[in-house]
Amino acid sequence: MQEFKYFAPSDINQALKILDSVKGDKRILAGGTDLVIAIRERKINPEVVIDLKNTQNLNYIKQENGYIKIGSMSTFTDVIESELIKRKARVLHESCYSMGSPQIRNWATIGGNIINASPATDSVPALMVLDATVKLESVSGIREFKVQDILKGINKTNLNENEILTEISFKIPSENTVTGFRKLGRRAALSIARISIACLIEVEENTMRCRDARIALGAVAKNPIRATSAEEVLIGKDISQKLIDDCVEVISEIAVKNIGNRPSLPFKRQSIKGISRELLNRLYMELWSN
Amino acid sequence: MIKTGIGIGCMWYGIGNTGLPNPAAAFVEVHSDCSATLLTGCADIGQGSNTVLAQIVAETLGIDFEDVFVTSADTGVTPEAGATSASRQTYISGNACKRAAEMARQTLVDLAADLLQDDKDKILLKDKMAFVKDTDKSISMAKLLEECDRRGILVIGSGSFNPDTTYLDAQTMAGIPYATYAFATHIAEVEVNTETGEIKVKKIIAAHDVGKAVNPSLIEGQIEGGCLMGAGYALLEEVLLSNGRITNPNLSNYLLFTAKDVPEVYPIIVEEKEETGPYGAKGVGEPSLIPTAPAILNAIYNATGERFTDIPVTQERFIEQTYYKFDK
Repeated sequence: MQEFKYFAPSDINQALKILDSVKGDKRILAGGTDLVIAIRERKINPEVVIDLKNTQNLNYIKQENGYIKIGSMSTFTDVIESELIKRKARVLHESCYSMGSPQIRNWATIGGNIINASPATDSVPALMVLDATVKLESVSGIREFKVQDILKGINKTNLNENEILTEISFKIPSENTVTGFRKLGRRAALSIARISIACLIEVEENTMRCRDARIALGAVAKNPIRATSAEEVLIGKDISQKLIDDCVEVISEIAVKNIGNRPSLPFKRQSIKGISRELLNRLYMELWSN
Repeated sequence: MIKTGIGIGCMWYGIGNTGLPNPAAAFVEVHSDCSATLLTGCADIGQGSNTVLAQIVAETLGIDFEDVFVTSADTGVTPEAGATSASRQTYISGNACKRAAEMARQTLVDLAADLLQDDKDKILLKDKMAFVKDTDKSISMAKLLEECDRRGILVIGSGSFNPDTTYLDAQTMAGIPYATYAFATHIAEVEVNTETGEIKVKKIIAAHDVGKAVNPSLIEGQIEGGCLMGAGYALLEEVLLSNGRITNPNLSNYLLFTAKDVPEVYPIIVEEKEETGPYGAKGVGEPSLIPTAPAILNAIYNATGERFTDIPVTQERFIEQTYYKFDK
């Protein structure tokens, strides 16, 4: 491992100042569960590492004016232990719970998971169906984007060199909404998603008529994608078994189109139907029982 | 769709190295405080051989297990015991330790017969006492050892054991490859998700003929560990090669089952005495994982009608064989 300069500022403003002033290949250390491995494997050779572990003001999960706001240094454990998230954004709870192991979840942060921009990220598909916004801060101000709009390929984002992701926020889904996440990993824990699906379905009050549907797929493209044509199958119609089956076929087609001609294609073409059908059926049953 | 199935796998397995001499030796010394030292070359790599060998020595000498001090696998002081492999140490080093303890025991028996004025054949050593069978005559081990000190007798023993095998004929492979065999049957219950290829092992019932269970808890531990390893072998573990190099040499990419993948395991110990084994015992180490994969593959067949002949049955392999077999 090559030597690097290390900073551990005690608040975000100090961190932003350091980030803005230092030169060279600089990296933000949040939980370190991806960054440290990348350094160790010499995939990256940073000259400066800015550790956010001492920044007290970036670790929170709160409700404000109909929105849930999550500080970017909140760990996966913080997210899954939040009653607010469990009740109002089950999809995020489930996706974060499926990531890694308790030890990794204790360190890994939600902000780091987004910025790492892995194709197989667990949190991003969930945040996409929640239509989450991310806040990027720098000494020169604040920019806000939809989460998917900052992802620009594998391990790539559109962040400026002096920006730090500080907050993730999304509107709390209405009472007539059900959400969920399902991933396929090679084993029951400590496994990277081979494919994943996050889904949100909102119905008109006291009906099964779909007002809004959002579906995001992980590990089928360089970054998670919204399956808009599959969402259109559901929107405006009464959710039924038949409709779910149609939607599952469209999801599989979208996956096939995005995966391209890879050896995993036959497997993923089929297995995405399995996880999609299971998730949509579960949400369908939940809508019935609501 | 989730389908469930049940499968059976059976095995027999030779204990010890195949068609080769593979002896082990041991040294025992009994001290005046009724404790003993055991020197054995047997490496305890976590399976518990130090415990089992100390139990065998304690049983033979009639002293407490806690008073047997084991020095093992130290080439500076311990005699040859061969490798901890081939499920052989309980059987082979067990016999060597028993013979070493028996030699030391004979010294105590001879002295007890002399002091108690009775036949050597009628002396029993148990609970740190020497008894004369069918009488109320007895003497404490402490007294015996005190007398040993007085007379200048050292209570020591050495022993070795080599299983009764022959070299195999180079052309016909005929011969006696092993002195004894272990037998086992596993029954596995699986849940197969036919759309995703996920296979969950729910339960394994594992019955093992161990000859005599010297330490039942250790045997159950071996069986439980073996079942977990066998299930990973059936469904997940795979060494990948590219130009002769292993491409997944780390635990991050050579995946093992985690605590969340573990099935319920029900070990059943079958005791069918092995006449040549120490107190009837033989090995269980490797046998514990051998029938697991066949039982699981049979359970998958029972659940889905798909017969797999390659392992691991990964999600891909299941999906490709089930949905795409006619494409090939």
